[in-house]
Amino acid sequence: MVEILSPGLAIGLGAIGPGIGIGLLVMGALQAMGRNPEVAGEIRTNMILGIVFAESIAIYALVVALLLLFVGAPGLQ
Amino acid sequence: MSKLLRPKPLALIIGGIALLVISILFVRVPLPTILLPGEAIPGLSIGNFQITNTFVATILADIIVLVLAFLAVRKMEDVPESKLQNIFEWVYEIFEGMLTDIGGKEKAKAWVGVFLTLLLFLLFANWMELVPGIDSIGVIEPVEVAYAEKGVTVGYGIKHLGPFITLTNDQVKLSAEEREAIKKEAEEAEAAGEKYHPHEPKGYVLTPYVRAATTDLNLTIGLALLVVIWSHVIGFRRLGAKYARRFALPVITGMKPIDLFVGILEFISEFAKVISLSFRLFGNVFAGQVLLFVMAFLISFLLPLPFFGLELFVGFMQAFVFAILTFIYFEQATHSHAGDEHH
Amino acid sequence: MAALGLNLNYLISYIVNFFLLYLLLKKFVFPAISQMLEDRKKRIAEGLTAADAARREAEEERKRLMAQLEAERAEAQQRVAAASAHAEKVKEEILAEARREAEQIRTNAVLEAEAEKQRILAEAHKQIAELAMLAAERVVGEGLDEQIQHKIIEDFLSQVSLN
Repeated sequence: MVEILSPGLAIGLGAIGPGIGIGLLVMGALQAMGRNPEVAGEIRTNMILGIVFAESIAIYALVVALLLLFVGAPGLQ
Repeated sequence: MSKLLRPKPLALIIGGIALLVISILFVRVPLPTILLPGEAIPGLSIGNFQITNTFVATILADIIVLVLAFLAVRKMEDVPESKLQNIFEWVYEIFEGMLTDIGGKEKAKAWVGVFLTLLLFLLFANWMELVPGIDSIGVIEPVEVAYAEKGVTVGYGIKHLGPFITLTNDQVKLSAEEREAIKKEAEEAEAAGEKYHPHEPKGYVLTPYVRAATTDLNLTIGLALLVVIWSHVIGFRRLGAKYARRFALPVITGMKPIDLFVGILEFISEFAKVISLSFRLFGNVFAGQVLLFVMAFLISFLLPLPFFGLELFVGFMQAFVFAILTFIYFEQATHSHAGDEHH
Repeated sequence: MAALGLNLNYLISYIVNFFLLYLLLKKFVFPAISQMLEDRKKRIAEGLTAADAARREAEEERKRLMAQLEAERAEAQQRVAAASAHAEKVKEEILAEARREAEQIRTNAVLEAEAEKQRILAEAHKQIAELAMLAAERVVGEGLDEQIQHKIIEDFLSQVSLN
């Protein structure tokens, strides 16, 4: 039970923060694009980079989840 | 509502529902064995080097990129007749412009090659998960062998379709006792120096010939290591001793304590770069692949369709992100901090 | 690490594989594309400069032609003006000549008419005198002296011409 639950929790909880972060990022970027559409391309590139950095937090959670799922935590088995 | 009742949309809707019903009732797809490492294809090796299905996919992606690129530049024309040449020129121009925006003309010109190679290679490597036949055509083995070698515990029944063999949807799970027995038998077979083969296989698993290259951590970590080390080499070449300074190496004197702290952080962030670069790519593509498996497993027709679109986008996005981050790391490595001159 | 499938052999083979791909593309593909783009850019720039030069040349040619045309037009105008002035002069001359001749003709006519008038008057004098003589001879008879006769007639005539 714990073997199944722990990777799920790891990725599930770990994805909350980046999810909110990416949402805020895109919101800000879209507002900025709406205000000055002439720099939309530049904003889009930076938005994607920002999303990428926020996403890497979720990636760390994914790494932990994968480790738990396929390698297992010491003392868990 | 009235729009839906016209003959054409109505036929489409009824057809769609019929497909869903047929797929739920008759066409059930087994859930493929989900394995993290690239799976070795049985009986395919060069010397000691066991060829895995992700390795095959890597070579395929290489071949696709090379063939397309060489066809595009085979006979360059000033007024391009071939669409391929047009596309390559367009891609080159667009991304060179984008890199120029980020890092300036000189740097864009120097590294657009690395950028485009990464982009094209990863693009085809990622998109390979979408091609029918990849992940689904391969070698069928007894689940016992797969358990002994890779720890797979779930197998499926098989069915003969003319000259081909296909897996059916009948799931077979190895119980704990069976696993113990298999382990012992395999050890005995190994001790006797022969290949382990069960007397009466309970189920079978499929090892595909090709599996999307970026679902292998070896590839993504290898690429991430390559580009991060490459960025250090470039930085050291361009900035010399000043470059070492940002890591607060103790050789350089006249450091404030804060510099040491920042240096240690920079040092750690280099490892974070490798991890985030490699696991981002791997995680997205692997998760996408599992998503497609699961969707086809739930309802094999229609349901996976939107996810194919999603994966098309994700595949491009991840290739692009990997490539642009590589460029940004290169750019940062050669960017001499304005503050450094004042110390 | 083995559970994640990490294996140094594969890792290195993937790195080498990618590096080879990069070298191949770098050697054969990207320079070709970049060269092509560069060449095309240069050619377009050259074409634009050439077109610009051609346009400027055409403009100059047009200006030159316009100036020439203008000059020719002015010359023609001058010539027309000279011609018309000449014509005016000729006309004046002809008119003056005509007027002079007309004057002469008129003067001649007046003189002739005067002479004719004098002649007719003299004739009339003579006839009247003779008529008067005849009348007087009838009235007085043939007794009258020639000289007296003349004197009377003269007086009468002077009275007549005075009236």
